[in-house]
Amino acid sequence: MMTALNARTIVGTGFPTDEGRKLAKHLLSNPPGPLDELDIDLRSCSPVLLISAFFNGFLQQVYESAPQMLDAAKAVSWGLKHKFQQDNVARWMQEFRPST
Amino acid sequence: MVETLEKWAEGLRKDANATEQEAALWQFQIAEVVTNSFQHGRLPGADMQAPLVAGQCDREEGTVRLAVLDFGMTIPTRIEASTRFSRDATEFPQGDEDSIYGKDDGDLIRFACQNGITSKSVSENQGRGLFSLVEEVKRNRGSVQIASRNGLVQFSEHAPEARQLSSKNTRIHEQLSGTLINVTLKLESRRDRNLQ
Repeated sequence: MMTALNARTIVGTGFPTDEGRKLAKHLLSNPPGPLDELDIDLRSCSPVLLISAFFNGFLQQVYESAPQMLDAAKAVSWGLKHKFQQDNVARWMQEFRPST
Repeated sequence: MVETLEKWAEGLRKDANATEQEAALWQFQIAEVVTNSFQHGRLPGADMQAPLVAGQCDREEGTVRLAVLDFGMTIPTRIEASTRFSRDATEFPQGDEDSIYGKDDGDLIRFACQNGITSKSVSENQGRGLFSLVEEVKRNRGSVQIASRNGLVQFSEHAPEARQLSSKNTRIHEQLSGTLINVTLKLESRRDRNLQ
């Protein structure tokens, strides 16, 4: 069963990398459910924030804090407003490789 | 950065009478470039100067032009300074790190815009931002010009064109101490109106 979460209550308007990391830290310290069963609504977040640095920051933080959860983090369902965003995020999730 | 760019894009959207999706696309593209500048353009030991951002709408032509100029470390300098490259770059430099040296700046910029280029020192977003920008602009049938140090590359729906800004054959002998990215996009809403 999917768990819905509105990211606007967690992320702010800081630097995209930092905000992505912040979201990951929040989810890892206050897990609302398994990562791969999360439906994170980003539709009310600024398009300026939703760039590759945000999602790379999110995945990198998961890798650094809980590397065994990286695959589940890649399977998070993201709610996005525009098709180009959905296409980009799907590609970034697939192509992400952590920095070691 | 987020709020400033949001306000800037909203002003441009009103001026261009553009759709919400178009404005979102511009915000995404500018944010990728600006973030890339902040993350990778900082010179060692120096504070990063905020990049300059400009936008212009041409209603007659149905285009929007976006430009970002930063004064940080140039793309060719970053590429040369990197000591490790991922191996999934298929076009260049053919898996030989040493082969990037001696290449001209246009080639180095083109290399930086490929997918999957990462450097040891800065992992997040390296290359990905520029790659995403170029791919999105191609989809829009627009164009991107990137000038950095002594290189200039133009990306469009055709093959990329790279050249040197200055050479023995030109009168210009100055190099750009930073990076200028100039994006031209077609307005979807305008295109749709023209088709009706």
